[in-house]
Amino acid sequence: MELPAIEVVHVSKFYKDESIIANDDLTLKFNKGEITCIAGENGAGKSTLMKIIFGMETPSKGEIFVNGKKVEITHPLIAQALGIGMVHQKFKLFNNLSISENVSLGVELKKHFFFLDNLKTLRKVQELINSHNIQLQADTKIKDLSTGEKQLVEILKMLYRNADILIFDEPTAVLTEQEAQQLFATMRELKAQNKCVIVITHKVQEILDIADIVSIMRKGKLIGTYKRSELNGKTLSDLIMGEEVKSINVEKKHINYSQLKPVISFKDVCIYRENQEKPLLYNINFNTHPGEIIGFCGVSGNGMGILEAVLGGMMPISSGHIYLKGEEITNLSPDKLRSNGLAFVPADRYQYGSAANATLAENLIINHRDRLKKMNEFAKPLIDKYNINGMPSQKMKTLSGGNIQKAIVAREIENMKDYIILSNPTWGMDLAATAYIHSQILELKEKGASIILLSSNVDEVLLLSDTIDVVTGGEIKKSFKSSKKLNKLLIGEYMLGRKS
Amino acid sequence: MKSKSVQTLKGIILIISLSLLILIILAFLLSNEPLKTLNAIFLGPFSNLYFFGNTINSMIPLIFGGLGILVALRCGLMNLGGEGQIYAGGLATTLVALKFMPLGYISIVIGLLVGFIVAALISGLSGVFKVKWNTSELITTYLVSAVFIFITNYLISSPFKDPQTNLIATRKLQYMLHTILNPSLLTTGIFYAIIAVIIINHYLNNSRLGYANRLVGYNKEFARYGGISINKTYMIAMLVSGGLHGLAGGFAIVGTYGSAIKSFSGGMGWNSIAISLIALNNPLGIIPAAFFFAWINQGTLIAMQSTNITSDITLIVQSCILFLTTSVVLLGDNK
Repeated sequence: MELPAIEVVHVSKFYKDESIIANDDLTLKFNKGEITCIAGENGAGKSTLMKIIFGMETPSKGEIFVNGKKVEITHPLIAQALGIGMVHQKFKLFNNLSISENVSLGVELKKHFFFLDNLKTLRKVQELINSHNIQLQADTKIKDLSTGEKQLVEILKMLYRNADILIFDEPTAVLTEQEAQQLFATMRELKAQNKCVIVITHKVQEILDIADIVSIMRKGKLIGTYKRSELNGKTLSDLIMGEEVKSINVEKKHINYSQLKPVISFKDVCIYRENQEKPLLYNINFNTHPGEIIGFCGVSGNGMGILEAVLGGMMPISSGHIYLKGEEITNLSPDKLRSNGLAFVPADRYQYGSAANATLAENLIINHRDRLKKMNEFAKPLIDKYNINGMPSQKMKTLSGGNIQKAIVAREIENMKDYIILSNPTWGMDLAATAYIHSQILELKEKGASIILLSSNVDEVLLLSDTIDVVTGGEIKKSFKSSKKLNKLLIGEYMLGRKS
Repeated sequence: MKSKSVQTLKGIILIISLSLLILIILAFLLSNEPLKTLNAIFLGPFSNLYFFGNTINSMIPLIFGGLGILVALRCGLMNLGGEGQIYAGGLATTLVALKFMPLGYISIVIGLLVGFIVAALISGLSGVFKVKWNTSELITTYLVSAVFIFITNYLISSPFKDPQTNLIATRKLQYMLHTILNPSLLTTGIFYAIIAVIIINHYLNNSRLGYANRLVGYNKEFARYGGISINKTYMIAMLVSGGLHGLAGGFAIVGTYGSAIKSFSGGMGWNSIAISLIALNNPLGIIPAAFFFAWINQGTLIAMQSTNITSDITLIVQSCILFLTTSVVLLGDNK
């Protein structure tokens, strides 16, 4: 039997002294002439594994074999020399250079040992394009290409470097349906040429369309490796989402919230991009009400982050209106929104939620700067109340991630007026801290706060929310009222785009 | 973390030692009497009250300039326009003080105030560019300052030149700061410089504007998220930074020079950057850092009088310190 193109054996990746396990003892084989899909939810560890294979991360434990030989891939250049290529979600192309120049960058053909031989390079790239039945002219500038064509250039870049192992990281995230179909055709072509194709994805339909082999990951672990023929849509999405549904008891009173006066209202909110690409947000409409938790869930890259930025005033919208208790607050800056009572726990607690070099007390008064003179007196009771393990004068970066999050939640809850935005409030937190934050959220609800919960964690959204909106491709694809019948798998099917 | 600032402090000490080592090597290479030269450089400033007073006196503009750089740095901004801001601020102070001469010592106060405003506006221009078009203040402060150096040169050498002196300079002020350590040049300006350090220290640590200034410097996305207006904070930081440079120029005139002499600011702006970096972003650190620069500077001047070396040796040492601190402090920041 032929050797696998690449094989990872007992590979693990830890961060911060083993406290965060991104990859847990993975053993996988990828064969030539096959398309292998790595499937899993956010944070399942797919991208980390691919970064390890491509030399952007080094494994904490384990071994990697390429064509049967043990290798140490410590840098992407080593990966390239071993014939491994990767198409990243974000293209790495120079817009003002031609396809040929981009493809050959760094490995240009030379003449007289020094000068670039542009003509010969151009011809070689054109031959490469033709041999793969791609409709492109090698001298076209990148800026004149569509998104799908740009991705083809990325693939050409790998092929030009004689890559045999091709990794695609969420390749269809930025593509239209037609472009995706074209990409699949190219992938099948590559497979026919005996290349080893690896695709990271969470889209069920996509996996069913192209995969020969599917490896499923959950929370850093490999759940299993299956042949395409063993799977159907239902079994596949069950495997990806997992069946564990936590049974923390949250009583939901079935109030008809729509009778109440709305707190935050979105009316036809859109954010368009240049070049008429897919809009980032499209026709978002919803109302929030006092005492109601409205949950948004979606897979990353589908508009959840954008929605969060809009709610926090960090990103302007192109069209539509946003109201707070009937008053227009469209495109107000964060400082204006703050004075209107914005409370907001951002998903990115390091970039937006805190300043690493400022002290804990300084971090706690960012939205209430009049407390500067008495900031330590203000911080102390807050630190006690929320069980933050730290001193007021301690630098924020010396706190653990969980304590930083507690500090952010404490700060925002303390300053809440009518509504609060919570984005992935329990991300990366242990069970006790998660339960504590959940109880705080429910307490706020009791007090009549209007709560907007954005989370990629479906369990959390299901547990807490009265209304659940699924965001896919920048749109609210489906809105559920909380009920017993609702379950994670059903929502998952919408999130993964299997149902619409 | 504490260990990091200790590390940076170690780096600073290393840089200073390295620069002094270069100074010693240069003395041996360039001087006929190296030991005498070194003695003059290192101990000369302490050998009598005259030299000591002059050393302390030359700290005054460096303290103001260092504070100016520090305020910008603490906001995550770099002001490379110190030279032009000090120069133009100094000229503005002179002209206004001359204009209000009949008011006596009040003329100094009005002059310094206008010097502050003029330099603040020059630096504020770069702030406007940054806020409006997101241009890098690193580039624009330098370019705008270069323009103002030419304008100030022209004003001093043509319309406002005093025909009664051979210097290229304006008329002399009648009222200046009082000297306090005769016969040295030291004036009461040193007290104002120390007061400025205390005020800026208080401003950064205990005022709301200073808090915004620091938080934008720490993490501007976080500051914006928390409701601090980045643009407003940038503008204020640039204005204060420029204004302090204006005072650096103004105090040099009303304390030491008495008139705006062509190129009187030579090097003060660049030295301010090194001083601010050595001070490790702490206003109180400005005083020892400025003292170090003044000491080496004054020491070389003394050595020039008694031995055959030239002032170039100071320039070489100062540039070494500037290059070395910029690299170490900035590298440390990225880590």
